Amino acid sequence: MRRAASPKTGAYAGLAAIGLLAALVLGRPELVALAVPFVLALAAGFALAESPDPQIVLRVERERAIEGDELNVEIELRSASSLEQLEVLLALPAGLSLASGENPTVLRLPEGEPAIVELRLRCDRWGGYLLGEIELRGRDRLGLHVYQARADRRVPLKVYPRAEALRSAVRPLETQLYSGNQVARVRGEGIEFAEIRPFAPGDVVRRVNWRANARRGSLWVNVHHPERDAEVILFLDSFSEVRRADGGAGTLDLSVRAAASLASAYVGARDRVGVVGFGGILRWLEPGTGLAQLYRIVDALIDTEISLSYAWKGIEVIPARMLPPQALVLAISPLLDERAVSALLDLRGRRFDVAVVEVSPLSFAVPGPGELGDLAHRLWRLRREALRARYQRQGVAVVEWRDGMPLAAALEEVTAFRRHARLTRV
Amino acid sequence: MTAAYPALAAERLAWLVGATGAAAVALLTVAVVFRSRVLLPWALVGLGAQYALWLELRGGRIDERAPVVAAGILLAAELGYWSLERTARGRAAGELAARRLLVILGLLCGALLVCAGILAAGTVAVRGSAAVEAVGVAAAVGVLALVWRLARPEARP
Repeated sequence: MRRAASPKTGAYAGLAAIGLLAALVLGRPELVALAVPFVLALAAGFALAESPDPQIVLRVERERAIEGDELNVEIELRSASSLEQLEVLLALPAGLSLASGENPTVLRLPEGEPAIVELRLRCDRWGGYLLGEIELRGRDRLGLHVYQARADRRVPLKVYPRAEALRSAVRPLETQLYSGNQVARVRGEGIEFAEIRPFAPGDVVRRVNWRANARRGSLWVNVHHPERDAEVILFLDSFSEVRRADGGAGTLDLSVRAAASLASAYVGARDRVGVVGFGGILRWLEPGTGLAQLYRIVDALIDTEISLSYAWKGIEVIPARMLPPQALVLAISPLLDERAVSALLDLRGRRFDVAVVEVSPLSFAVPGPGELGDLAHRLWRLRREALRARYQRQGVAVVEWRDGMPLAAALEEVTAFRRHARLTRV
Repeated sequence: MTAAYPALAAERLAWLVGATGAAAVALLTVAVVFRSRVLLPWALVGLGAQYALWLELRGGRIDERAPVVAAGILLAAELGYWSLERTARGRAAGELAARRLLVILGLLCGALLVCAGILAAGTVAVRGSAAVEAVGVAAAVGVLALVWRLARPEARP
């Protein structure tokens, strides 16, 4: 630890010097007596000064947590020489907060014995954190020396977004070749009944619909819809976000939570899911399925951040393999940046199956002061409504999802729109 | 108490002694309230100056209560610097406060004893002798050297 004289040391030395000089000038032994306690304190302080070098071990209960979880953190300190008072501060990154315990906390570090600081942290926001910057500040018995040190014991901590349990997600219009849980529009081997047709050579007997036979007097067989998998691309708009002035949750937080919920639902339904982070920095994760893919997606999501960029980006920058034909592109966007808005329209123009969950920025943006501010806010809202209507004219389902509203309700609106809009599909 | 004693015991210019003490106490209060590390030593200097003024007005007799006054100023200094520190939080805060009080108590007892010894030596020694002057000068120079050493940045390992 770095040792330094405290301000008290300088003051005591100065007081002692002034007292002794005054005693000399005035010839009064009483003034020597006034100065002597300070000299005594200084002498004792220097004699008792030590050079502690605490060993620090940081233990975090686990490396992964979910938003809202609490976890225990333990800081163990041990030193060969004692330290009368030691203040320990664990630097908490924004997104983690103290649930219980004292931070900074003060303790006495006895010689050779461990001192343990126990903290309980709350994971307020998803993200990847490095936890373990520890600041130490100590003082000796008389407070004449201060000790300072900064220890880097950083360990990674991943906080995953809390996913909402979805009973069903938006069904893609088209399915892929592999078996899955989505009922395909085509006819084939499956469970879901589609229609009946006349018997043809090669049909298996167990497909014969005996009731239809009895009515029509000839052989009729059941035809089914096969269950297939689907490809879903979660299109996460990270060009811009709206955040409350107090630093609370913003549209990006909601977007990431929605993406995590959707990824979990689609992977659970054995669909292939990929992610495109469309923003200042383009990120993507190729479609895949299974639990490992879900972990990959969530790991990719927690790295999402807003990167300021003025460069124009269209969908041509997205690798072609990230946009497989017949995939459902489910966009999660606050629809604030023209680049993301245009890219989605462009995708629709290229006959992709697009649906948009609009993470509403309205609850984060308050009208400006005065009549003009109110008017500007109303105009902005009207423009947003016009934009939604533009999407809907193109056959793209857009649903406004506000903070506090269940995602399932928003997805139900998307499904309802697509059910009625299917006939008008180009 | 340290400021009140000279003010109450003054026989001449009591108002001046009292005013000096009052100014020192006011400065101490301001330093503690506003957590000023700069003002606190000057408040202590003020207390010492008040005592020195009273001694000068009083005349040649040695004040036997000087160790108590010295201990009082030291106590004011210790408590003043303690109040300037951030409030300690944690399970060990109470224990640390108790230990610190014990350290201050020990320091005060040591100061009382040493001051009494010095005062006794001062009464025995012939006032104004060259030996006493030399010791005083050496002590003052030593303390100044200590101040200079502490003031140097490289002196802080």
